[in-house]
Amino acid sequence: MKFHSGIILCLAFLWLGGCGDDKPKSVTLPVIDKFADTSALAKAVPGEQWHSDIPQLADYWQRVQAALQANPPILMLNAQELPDAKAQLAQQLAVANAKFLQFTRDEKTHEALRNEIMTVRKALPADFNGNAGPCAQAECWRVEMYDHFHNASTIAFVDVGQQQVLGVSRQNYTQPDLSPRLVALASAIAGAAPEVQAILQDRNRQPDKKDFKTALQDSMCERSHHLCVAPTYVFENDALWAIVDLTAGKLVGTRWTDLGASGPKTVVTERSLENETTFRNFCEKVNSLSQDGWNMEYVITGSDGLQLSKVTFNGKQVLKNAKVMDWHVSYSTREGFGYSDAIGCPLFSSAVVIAYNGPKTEPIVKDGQEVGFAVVQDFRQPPWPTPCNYRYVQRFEFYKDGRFRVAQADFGRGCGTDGTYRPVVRIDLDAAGAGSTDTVAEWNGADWTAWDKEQWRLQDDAKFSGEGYQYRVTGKDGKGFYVEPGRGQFGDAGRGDHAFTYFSAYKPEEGEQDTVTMGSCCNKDYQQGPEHFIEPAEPLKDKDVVLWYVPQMKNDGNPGSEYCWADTRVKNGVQNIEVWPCWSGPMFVPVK
Amino acid sequence: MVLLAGCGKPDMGNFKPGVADACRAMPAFISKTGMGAQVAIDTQQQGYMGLRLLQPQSGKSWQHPSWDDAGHVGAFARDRDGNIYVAPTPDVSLAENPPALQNRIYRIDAQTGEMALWLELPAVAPPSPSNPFGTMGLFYDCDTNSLYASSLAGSEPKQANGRIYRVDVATQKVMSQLENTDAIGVGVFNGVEHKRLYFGSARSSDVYSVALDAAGDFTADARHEFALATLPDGNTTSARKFSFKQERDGQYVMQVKEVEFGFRLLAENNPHRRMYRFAYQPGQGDWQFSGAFPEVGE
Repeated sequence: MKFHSGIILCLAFLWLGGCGDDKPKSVTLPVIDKFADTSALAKAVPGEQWHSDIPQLADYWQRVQAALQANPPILMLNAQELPDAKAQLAQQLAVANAKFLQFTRDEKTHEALRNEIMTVRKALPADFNGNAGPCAQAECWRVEMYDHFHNASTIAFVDVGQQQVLGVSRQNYTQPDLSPRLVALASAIAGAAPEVQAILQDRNRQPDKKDFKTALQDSMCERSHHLCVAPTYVFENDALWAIVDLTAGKLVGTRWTDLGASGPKTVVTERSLENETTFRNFCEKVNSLSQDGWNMEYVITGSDGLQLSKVTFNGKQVLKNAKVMDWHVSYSTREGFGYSDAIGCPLFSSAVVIAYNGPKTEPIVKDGQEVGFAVVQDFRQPPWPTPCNYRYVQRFEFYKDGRFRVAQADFGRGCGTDGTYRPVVRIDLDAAGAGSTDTVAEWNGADWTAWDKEQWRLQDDAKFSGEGYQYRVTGKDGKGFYVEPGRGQFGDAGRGDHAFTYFSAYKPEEGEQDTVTMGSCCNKDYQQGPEHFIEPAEPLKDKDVVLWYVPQMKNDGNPGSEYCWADTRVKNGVQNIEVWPCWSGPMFVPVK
Repeated sequence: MVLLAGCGKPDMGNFKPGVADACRAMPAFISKTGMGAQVAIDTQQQGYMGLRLLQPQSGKSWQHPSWDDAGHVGAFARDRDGNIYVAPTPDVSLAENPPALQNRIYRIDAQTGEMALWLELPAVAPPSPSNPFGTMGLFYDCDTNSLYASSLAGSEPKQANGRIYRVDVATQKVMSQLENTDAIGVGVFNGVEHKRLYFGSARSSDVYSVALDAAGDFTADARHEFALATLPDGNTTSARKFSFKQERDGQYVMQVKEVEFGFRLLAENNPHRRMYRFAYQPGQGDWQFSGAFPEVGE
């Protein structure tokens, strides 16, 4: 840090010497939030349970459904909520105005969209930026309507004396002040949430947590584009925020903030909750899972998606680890145009398509019987499903009979209908237990032929056993797994993997660590990245082997045959993103 | 007495209130490209990498062979001679933007159009795959012939190691720096009182400013200006780029462009990005929010 002297040189020397050193100055910013570790996402609860627990929500939902059947489809303020006769008249005049109604139905299908009158009040000078126009002479009322589908507000200025609408304006991505009905509903949802109740009813709370006041803070749901608000519980030194999604009628999550005077106010929102919680719980630490005889560790990586490791079945390790290195996306009508998308953590990562939450487990049910479970991890680009944004899902299936599948899907929507998706999947098998050496054999149409060196094969050129197996990977004890590629047989609407497979001898430097994007986005042949690990080909005999699996899925946006695709539709008057995933991935079947 | 009076009060200079980068010149090399004078510097990087010149009307574009040497790029700033300073910024992958090469500033020579490495910024720690960002924001100040650059190099989840640098353009030397400051966009404006550098936090939607002295160096006078999140219909994004201009009625306007930032790769096609406008209030020396609009252009 230097000071401009502007004075006599000899004095300048003394001046600098007397006023401190010549080092750069620093400004301390409140970058470290001591409450960042308190963010928590709410557990998913079925909508019916919310409705049964919160009578106001059930009542509100009934009114929403009735409004969707009405014409115009607008939930209006009733006489109890809006007792003033002039205000009621203003509301009636607004909802009879064609321009005010312009976006209340879907443009193409004319389905009713969810619209709700939020406020009806006398217009104020501040509403006009100094130019009140006709409202300068008349008694104008301002009517605000929120459009849940478009996340937009429509405002009408109504002259009740002349019984006419003077003007209508619309603001996208703008949320008006809430109606008293929704203010009360937000508080009810927050107060009924188990996560909030657990804190408020904790009898061992610190003294400064005994008493609190409630308040309503602005918040937002940047990703769902829903109407969100934050009832807060203000204690002596800090406040508990509960982010409530009024469009969906649920709690999004909670977080504490400091009430101290140091630094600017922290604003808790859907995005901050999702980023902080996911990063802390699933990126910064390795978790473990135990179910149906299966045990494993899992972590969301910086750029290789969800990685499962040390996967055992009945005590025997079958997978050292498995993950998706990259998603290659290329477009056939634009030579060389495409992306190599890395998937991973929402903060401090090399990922471009990110996790909003940690993995979920779900049962696999066949013929009414639970036959296993799946570990599912979702990754999205925040603007998805708008064009040129992507969503990918990993799904690891584990069956009670010892089979497992490493699957993944694209959920659209990409940059066009000429796209081909090629996930680069690394599967480090332990066919005969941890650290075992493996023997890879390929079905030649009549028998299993062992591979003696590293190589690759395109599924379309391969032969399959009667059971649909392409490879057999076994240890010295003859135990191991058959590899059954996807050919549309898994009941997940997959249309076949058309996969490149590569077997390489295990080397820790070949993709075991989190790896930035590998290979070109847009090669159409086997050169997807793993070829670097098999060229020149090394012997496979008595080696621990790694399977690289690169399926190829061509997308389709045509109505009726959509694949690797997503589109926004109307459901209950709000946006519902319909998806047509393209699942791929091999099943591993134990060798009996 | 003179000595004591001077202590703790740096010479803040006497700058004419207003826009601090109005002297920026168009590069001379543009006249040799055959693109005409009405060209824009385009860093959208849709289907190409680096910078290019674009005729907005015709869609005709031109790129010097060296302009993709830094991989994907982000911020850029022109100086009074027409040189263009460019920050490498990883976009969809690290393949073209290795972390080790991100804490740099490149310069496009005003005469030749050639882009070359101009300065490697001194970082607490180098960029890495878990924080692949280095240089982020650039802004040129005409009064002091300074280039301000923000860097996120070496920052960690619980430790802000970023810096904002003042680089003397004539000597290519870092003259002053703000420590422990994770910022993206930077911009300088000459207020009624003195010159201030505005910067957008990389960790929140907050915008801060710090007073600059007569040489353009940072003083301890830092303050919080506003947060995008608490503006009417604001967002929890970070301030990515600052620009200043004077309207015909004499009103000074600050425009702030946003980005959703989480120390992860930035590539996404977000049609809803907005630009926030503020009007300068000479009486208070601060900025009043006047509205948010869809973002247009770079």
